[in-house]
Amino acid sequence: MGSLLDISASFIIGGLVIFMIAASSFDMTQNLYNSTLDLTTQEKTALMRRIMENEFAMIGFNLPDTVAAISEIDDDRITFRMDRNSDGVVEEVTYYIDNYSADYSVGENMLVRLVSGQQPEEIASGVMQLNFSYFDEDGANCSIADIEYIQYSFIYNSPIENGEHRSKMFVRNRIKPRNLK
Amino acid sequence: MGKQLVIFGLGFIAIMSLRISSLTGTATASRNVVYTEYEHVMARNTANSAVEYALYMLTQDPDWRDGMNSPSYNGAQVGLYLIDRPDISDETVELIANASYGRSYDAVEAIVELERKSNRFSRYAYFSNREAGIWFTSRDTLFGPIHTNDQFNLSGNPMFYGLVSSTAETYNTMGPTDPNFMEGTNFGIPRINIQPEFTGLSQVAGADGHKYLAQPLHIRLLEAGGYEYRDDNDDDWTYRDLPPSGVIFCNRDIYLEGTLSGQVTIVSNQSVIITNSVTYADDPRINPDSMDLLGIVAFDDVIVQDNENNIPNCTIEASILAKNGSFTAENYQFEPTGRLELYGGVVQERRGPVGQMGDPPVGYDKYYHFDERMETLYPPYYPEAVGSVSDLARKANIKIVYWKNSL
Repeated sequence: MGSLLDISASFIIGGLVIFMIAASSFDMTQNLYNSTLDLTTQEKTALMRRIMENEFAMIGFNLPDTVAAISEIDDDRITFRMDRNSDGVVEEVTYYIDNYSADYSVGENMLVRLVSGQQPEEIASGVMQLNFSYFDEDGANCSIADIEYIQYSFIYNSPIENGEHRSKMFVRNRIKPRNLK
Repeated sequence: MGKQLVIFGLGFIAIMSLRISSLTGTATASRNVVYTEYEHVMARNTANSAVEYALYMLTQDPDWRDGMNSPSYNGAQVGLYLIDRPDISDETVELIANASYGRSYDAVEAIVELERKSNRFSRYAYFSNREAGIWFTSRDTLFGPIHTNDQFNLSGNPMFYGLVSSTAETYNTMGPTDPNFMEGTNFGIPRINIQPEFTGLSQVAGADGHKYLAQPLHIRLLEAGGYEYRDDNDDDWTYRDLPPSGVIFCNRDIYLEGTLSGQVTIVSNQSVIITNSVTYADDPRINPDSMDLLGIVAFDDVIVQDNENNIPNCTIEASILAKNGSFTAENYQFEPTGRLELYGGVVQERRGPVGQMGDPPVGYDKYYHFDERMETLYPPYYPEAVGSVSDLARKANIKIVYWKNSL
């Protein structure tokens, strides 16, 4: 009788220990997964920020005086020109969101960089609320001819979600393109 | 049983350690992303700031080439170098700034063109030694810098769009007076003497210009380039190209008219008489990049002649300097009133009349407008106004040719 009690107690205690280990392992896996999602989101956002800011900083670079540096502006779209490679060929670049959806799912809300005469380049999907604002030298909203500063902002969603967890990052910055005439 | 428990425990600890290590590694990587971005932004901003600093210094002193080499500039290391680029132009400067912050590095390479503020008398829309009791009133709107070595007389609400300066600490008023100084004032500054180097101008004209001594000279500027001239007692015109130095000098009066294509300063040791409108072939009001520049320098007066060409209307596009006299109109009490349009500036010993208020008014209504190009350009050998730029907030304009971040 005594050994039966020992065996039963061992099963219960052992079962609890194994359950705790499994639960702990599951939690840690979830945390690790979410952290990895956050890290990927951070890295992707940083990459997008660099691409956009490096390019915005070059708006108007090496253009003839007769060519306008910024050709089209809107709240969610911008088209500008530059001769980035100093080869005498003016590139016209547009940033916009393609395949827009208010309720994001994978593959939608693609941030696109379109260079004139080339295939659209898909930078990342999951870019929400891409917004551009344009300011003159006094910091007031302005028309295309008076632009001194360009402010961009967007929210980037991780392409994968883990249960209820979807990693998001909000970015906003104001750039002064120095090559604007 | 005990041995198995120990093995089980060690296995559990090993698995947990690996998990915790992975979590820590992810957290560390996440922090590194943030910190790397922070370093990158700091390096870029520091490099950009260094070039902005150089641009500011160049506006204050166009000859500034000191640069900087700082081991600690807001936590970053920065080097700034300024290199003249005479292969592009005499006023082109290359700026190179490199900055490192933590493990990040960025650099800026920029090329700029300097436009030095002119220190010649042509930089003034209006300049006088003596105001001679003449008043600026609500009817007057002046563009460009103005100065007197006297005290201004202001009444009502005259409008001044350029910097207003005088040797006097303040200005005289008459009745309700509230002038509008849109670019501010600089009262109580040292005297700026009108000292045109007539000897120097004569020498330049003799060496590499055109110099006429014996007779009063008639000059007709030609729109196609060059000019025609004749002596006062000769009816035949003779053509000449504009001189290489751009200085035409006559010891006697000069009678001037025509349309200028090019740059020239016309100097008389007596007076210059305007016989008909004097204009630019390439009108700077239509083309701001026009390089036509005319200076009229007289030892005595610059006079709009009373003739059928000039009455009722006359247009003069030039910077005028009358060292000992005035810019004035001959027999200005004509009726009905006409229009005297000046695009340039006037420097004179004392204000001269071109019309007169009254009932009815007589003579010319003044339409004077400063030639903005004279802020940085000036006609050939135009006299230097010593001390005229020493108090300016900006001594040069900067035009960015290109600006490139290296990364």
